[in-house]
Amino acid sequence: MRKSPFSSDLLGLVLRRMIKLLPASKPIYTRLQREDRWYRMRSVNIRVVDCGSSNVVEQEIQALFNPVYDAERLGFRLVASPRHADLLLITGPIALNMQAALIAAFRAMPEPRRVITIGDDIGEESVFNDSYAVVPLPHEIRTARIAHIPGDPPSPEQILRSLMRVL
Amino acid sequence: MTCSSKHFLEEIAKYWAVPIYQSDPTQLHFLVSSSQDLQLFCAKLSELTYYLVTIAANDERELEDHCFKIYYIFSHPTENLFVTLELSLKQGQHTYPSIADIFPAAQLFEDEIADLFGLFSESGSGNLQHILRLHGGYPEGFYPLRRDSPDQAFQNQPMDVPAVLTFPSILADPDSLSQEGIYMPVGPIHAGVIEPGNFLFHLEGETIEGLQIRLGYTHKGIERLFQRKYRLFNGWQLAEKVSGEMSFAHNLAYCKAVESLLQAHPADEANLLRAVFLELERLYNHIGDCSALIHDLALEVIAADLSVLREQLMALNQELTGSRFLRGINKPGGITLPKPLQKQWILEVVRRVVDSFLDAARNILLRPDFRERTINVGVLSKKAALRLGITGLAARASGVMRDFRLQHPFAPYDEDEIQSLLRSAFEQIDLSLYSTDVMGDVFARFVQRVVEVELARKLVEKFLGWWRDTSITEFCVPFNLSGSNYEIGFGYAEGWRGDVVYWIMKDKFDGIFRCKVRDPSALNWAGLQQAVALTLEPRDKSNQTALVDFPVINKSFNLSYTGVDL
Repeated sequence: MRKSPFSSDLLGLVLRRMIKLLPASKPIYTRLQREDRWYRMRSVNIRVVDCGSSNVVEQEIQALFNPVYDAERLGFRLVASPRHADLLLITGPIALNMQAALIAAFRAMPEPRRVITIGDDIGEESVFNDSYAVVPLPHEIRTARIAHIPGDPPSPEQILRSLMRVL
Repeated sequence: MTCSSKHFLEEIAKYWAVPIYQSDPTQLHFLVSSSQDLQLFCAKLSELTYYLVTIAANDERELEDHCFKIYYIFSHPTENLFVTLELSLKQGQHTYPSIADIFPAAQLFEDEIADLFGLFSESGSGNLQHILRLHGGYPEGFYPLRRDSPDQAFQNQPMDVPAVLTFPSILADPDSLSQEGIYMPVGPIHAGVIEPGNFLFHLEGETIEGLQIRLGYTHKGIERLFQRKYRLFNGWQLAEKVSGEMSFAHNLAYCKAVESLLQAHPADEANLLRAVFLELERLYNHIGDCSALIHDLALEVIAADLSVLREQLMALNQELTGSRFLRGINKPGGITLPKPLQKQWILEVVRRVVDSFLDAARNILLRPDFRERTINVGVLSKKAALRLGITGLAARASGVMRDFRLQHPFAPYDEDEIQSLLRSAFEQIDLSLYSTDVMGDVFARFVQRVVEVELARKLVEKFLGWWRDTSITEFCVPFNLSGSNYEIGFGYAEGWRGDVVYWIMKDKFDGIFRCKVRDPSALNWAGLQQAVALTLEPRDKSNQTALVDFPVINKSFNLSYTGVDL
């Protein structure tokens, strides 16, 4: 087979020239990385952990991904494992029985970890705060919290609006 | 009709118990003094096919009898009759007879009483602490529902993860694990957006050999909060938070219990509205569940269509009551709407949604891929359902006719027209129409949901047909605090999962001395276990369940975690 005049050698030469033109500190994939970051800003992997809610907030988060609200179209995606998650959504008061599992899930997330709490049951004014079985949000999770979405429960529209404003 | 079996029971009860007069003709109340009498009485009730509704323990050490008491509540299988047995434990006595051999459904309640009261059944699952509600992380000897226990008892040291994952039954007896097959723990956090619970599968290849379920992860001390923070008049706010998608049914059952305590009788309009909202709750949940089940079978397009229908009903709820989950309108004494009811509009939305749903459902019931995955999968036989005391939708799908709307009708369900409508709807379920001879499988539960959606539309139309248009939005009767001290109120409502039951004892004023909440899921978790792992029957090739079928079976029951954990 006859070799093309525009062989890979030629292409390699051009590329090598281009690399020489670039400043030494910036590798060639910088631009790609920048784009990657740009698109990642619009793609959020979410893991939801129910720590003792009454299941209404879960219903509303599920509704967020039905064809009416379709949060996936806006870049939000539910993932099965906290290891894939950028964002942890925590619902309900923190039941003591769920505390260990919650902390394990939080630590399994890759850095940087971000947390949003949802619903009136988890805030300072929650009716469950006086209960023997409910504990405050663990310290390390509270420091990673970027927002709280109030409501009993917040409607899917409110959740979506808050998520988009925060990110 | 009630009279005959009531008199019969009063006659035979003489041998074991002392009757207490009840003004309500549908209630019988007996005092039982010895454990042997209790077991004999329960055996007789079981023979007469009564079934267990709930067991409520109560710390009455500061009252006149100075002891713990346990109330067993049973229901007659067909007639409107509840039987309460009251057992007093002697002072200082912390054990009581187990009736789990007679009524297996009692096991869960006995475990619960062990955790919350520190009272142990004599022949139950040993004196294992922290089985159900308090997993560890709680101090030893802390029993939250004893009235003298402190309000804040947790040690703010999180448990280690292995302690969360290990099942108490395995810790107690490590040899119970089989050498063959593998054990696969799942949970407490699941892959989807659902509530936490821990499952331990014993697998032999692809088939499930055994299943253990550990609940209690969402335990938040609701029954104690009722006692400490709420009064009779505002406890409905907490009742709505017990199980979110059954908010209205829980609220209604609470209100009925309080109304029975205070002898209040809500207006006819309030009763009608309550029934309408109860059916609306049934509608959106059944349609949502069908959507979720179909989604699990990977029929995404149909599932998406159905979830849009559910969303239309949620929007209707929002418009009618200001809450997508029908919260905040129902109170003891009646109902308050944010604006006048738009009858025509409700009828129109419900008709449109249910018509589209039935079209989709009829198509899907005939699809071979759907039938392949659901027929003869997750079978809960009638015999097993009766033995385990299953209730609500799951029982009806297994051929056990248990519906509080029929057996213990409350206004306006007690109208003859409604009764015949209910009866004919349940009798017309002809599974042979869909060419299957198995009752109680995933398919049967799906069909049952479809039938109940159709029925709910008929009921809504009937109720709204009786509704006269008015601009009034408040239908509350004022009522005063009445009734003697420490009286017991009993309320129930047939929600979409089954009957919700509230047992409330008031204190001297308007406080709640004890509020026992019974969600239908408390009885039905045993049914899921049986349908997956056949705990009661021998397994062979024909009735084994594969692991891939578990999500589908689970969705077909769709039980509440928080309703059991409380």
